[in-house]
Amino acid sequence: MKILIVDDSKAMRMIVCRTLKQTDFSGFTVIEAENGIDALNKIASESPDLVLSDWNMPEMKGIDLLKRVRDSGNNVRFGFITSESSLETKALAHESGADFLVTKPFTAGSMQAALDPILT
Amino acid sequence: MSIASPAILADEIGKFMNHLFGLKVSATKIKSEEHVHPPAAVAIYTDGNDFVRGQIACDLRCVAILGAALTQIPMGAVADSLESGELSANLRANAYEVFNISVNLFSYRPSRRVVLSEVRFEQNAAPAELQSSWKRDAFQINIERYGSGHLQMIHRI
Repeated sequence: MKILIVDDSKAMRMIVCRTLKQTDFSGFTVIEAENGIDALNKIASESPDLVLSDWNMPEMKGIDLLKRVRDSGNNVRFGFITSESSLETKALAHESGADFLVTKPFTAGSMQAALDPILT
Repeated sequence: MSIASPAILADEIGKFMNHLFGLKVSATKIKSEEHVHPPAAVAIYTDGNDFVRGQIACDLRCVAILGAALTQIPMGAVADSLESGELSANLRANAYEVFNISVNLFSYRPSRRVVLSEVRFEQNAAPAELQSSWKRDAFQINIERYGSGHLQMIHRI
């Protein structure tokens, strides 16, 4: 399984990767993108099985990245990992085709709980 | 429009940072007057109407250990920053991310979207529009392997 982590913060990409390794999931490889355009390119070239994206990023917000992906007919599994926690944000993510939204700070347990329904 | 926010509890902060860093973190409420060091960073949180909902002010030691603990940067980088009086670029970037995530300490109403509006990284950084309707709660934050620093949660009464 190939997982694409999209976040403009290198620190957060590292933390998401570290947390994934603390879950019960194994046998995955991680690729990274630092913004929405980079992510679109890597989705096209690398065909990840799962995209984990930040919400607030410069140039292209995570929600716009998701819309671009869905508009292109790509149904890759897509989740947000974000400090956004409002009901409005969660509703918009769901309506736009996100599989889940994990709020920062997260633990291996909360990550596992979000991924279990779509990866097992 | 002024809407009071509930006090943020020490245990809540400790647990929040424990989840964030994956390290043991304790927060202990202290008297504001014990917060003797001037802020080296102030994070300002606003709602969709640019109305300030809350602020976090940290002394240099606190902001340095928060930044270091996020990606477990060696303690030497913290010591260097304390000696020079300035945060290194990676500590500053990490601290910004910690403040960004800490928005959820102020998101006590899920229906109200609160965002990190600005972080002022400067010695004697001044909080925004402090008035008598604001309350400061001071905490000593102790992070496993990194030691302690002082942090103030500033919110409306």
